[in-house]
Amino acid sequence: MNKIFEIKNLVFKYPSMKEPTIKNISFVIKEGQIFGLLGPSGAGKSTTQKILTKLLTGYSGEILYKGMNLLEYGKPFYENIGVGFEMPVHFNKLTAMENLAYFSGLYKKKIDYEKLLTIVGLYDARNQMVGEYSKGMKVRLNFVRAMINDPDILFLDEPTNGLDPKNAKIIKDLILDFKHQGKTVIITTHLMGDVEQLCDDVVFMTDGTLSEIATPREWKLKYGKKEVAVEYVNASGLIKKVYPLDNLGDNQEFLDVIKHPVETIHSGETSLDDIFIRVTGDHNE
Amino acid sequence: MWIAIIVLSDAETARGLVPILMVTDAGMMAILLLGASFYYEKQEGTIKSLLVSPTGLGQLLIAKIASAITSGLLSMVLVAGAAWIFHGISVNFLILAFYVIIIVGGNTAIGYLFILGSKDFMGMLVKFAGAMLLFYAPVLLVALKIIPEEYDFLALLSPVSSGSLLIESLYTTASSGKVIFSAIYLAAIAVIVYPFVIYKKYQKVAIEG
Repeated sequence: MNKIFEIKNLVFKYPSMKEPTIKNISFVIKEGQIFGLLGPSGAGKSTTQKILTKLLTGYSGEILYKGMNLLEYGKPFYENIGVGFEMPVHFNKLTAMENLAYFSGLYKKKIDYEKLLTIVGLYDARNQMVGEYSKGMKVRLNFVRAMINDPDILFLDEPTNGLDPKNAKIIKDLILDFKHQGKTVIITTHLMGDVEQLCDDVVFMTDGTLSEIATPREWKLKYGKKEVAVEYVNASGLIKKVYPLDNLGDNQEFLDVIKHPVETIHSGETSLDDIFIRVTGDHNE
Repeated sequence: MWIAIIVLSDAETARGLVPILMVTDAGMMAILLLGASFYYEKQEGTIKSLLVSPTGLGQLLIAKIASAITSGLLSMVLVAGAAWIFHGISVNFLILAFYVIIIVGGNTAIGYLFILGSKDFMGMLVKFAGAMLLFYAPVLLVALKIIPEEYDFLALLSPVSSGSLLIESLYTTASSGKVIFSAIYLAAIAVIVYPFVIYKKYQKVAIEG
């Protein structure tokens, strides 16, 4: 895969702060992947996203976008990116259609946003003022706004926050469809279930620094216990036993145990929630 | 309401009121409307959304100024038109429009300094009121004869006073030196403050929070 973003030794300090918010981080985002940038609040995720979307400048280090310095790109850069902010960004006194017509008018590339409104379940409410929308409706409209210019890269901040499972699945399916078109998604979220379902690569950010980059599976293997727990029933009742995963097929005790009626059997893999807490340490959200 | 005030006034009073009403709309009202819209848009997040679109910050600012100028010109047409229709007070509309544009430019540039330097609308209003008092200090000092009358030109440092003088010069008489100073002063504020201060600070303030 080609590199779409290459970040080298990025340091950023807000003028009002004593310490840098971003402390010498380097990472690569590959084209066509869903990249998860995770971490507690105040870790620097939003700042990183604002730098990558050119909202913040004045950093040191280098950011290459498609091999060229990001700072050398002008306004046409925005023709190719879509940004979904955590807080919905709409004119509350306008209807959804008026909002989308307005934002669509800012771009050369257009999409059939009525079709997208139908997919996310907002078509019937398209002529309702956004101020009357529920939080979930605003979040879905936010996603449509981010897609309004048929971008190549999508920056999403908590895209399913506040959505019920059904609508969250619709948004996640749309994100996966987007990826399957060879496009790139950079996502920040606290919802580890979303990360597991969506992200190809994940990096944890803590206090302006980054962990290594790995897939959700690699994270789970790294932090998981290599063991399997079996609950089975014998003459004395319910028994729970734990066996190492190594050479499990040669473990005669395990092979004997599973001949009993097995009630549950689980590998010792850790959830991403646990990994989040372990990697980001004592930093409060 | 301005039209009603002019219609109900006699010609001489109307002649004195027209500059005040016009400067109120082109100066103070323009600042208040820009401030209200800035904080409202910031609260709604729509400024951030515009800043990640191909719309340039320069275009965004020009649109803001253009809306303030349009509002000022509309008020000018209504006020000056009413004075002309109901009291026969004629004026050179082209020069008047030119002055209104300069007044809007200078006053809104000052207004943006308060807007971008305040956390919320109330904070902006407090700073704005404080600045108005400061700008009116020379007028008061001259009126109270604390400083000699020849220093009354200091009052022109107030964008509202210099704006008033420009409009008054078309309805009554005014020293040409003061008119030229006021026009250059207001235009210079706009030309210097917009590109060198507001343009640099606007994006930073707009995306905070």
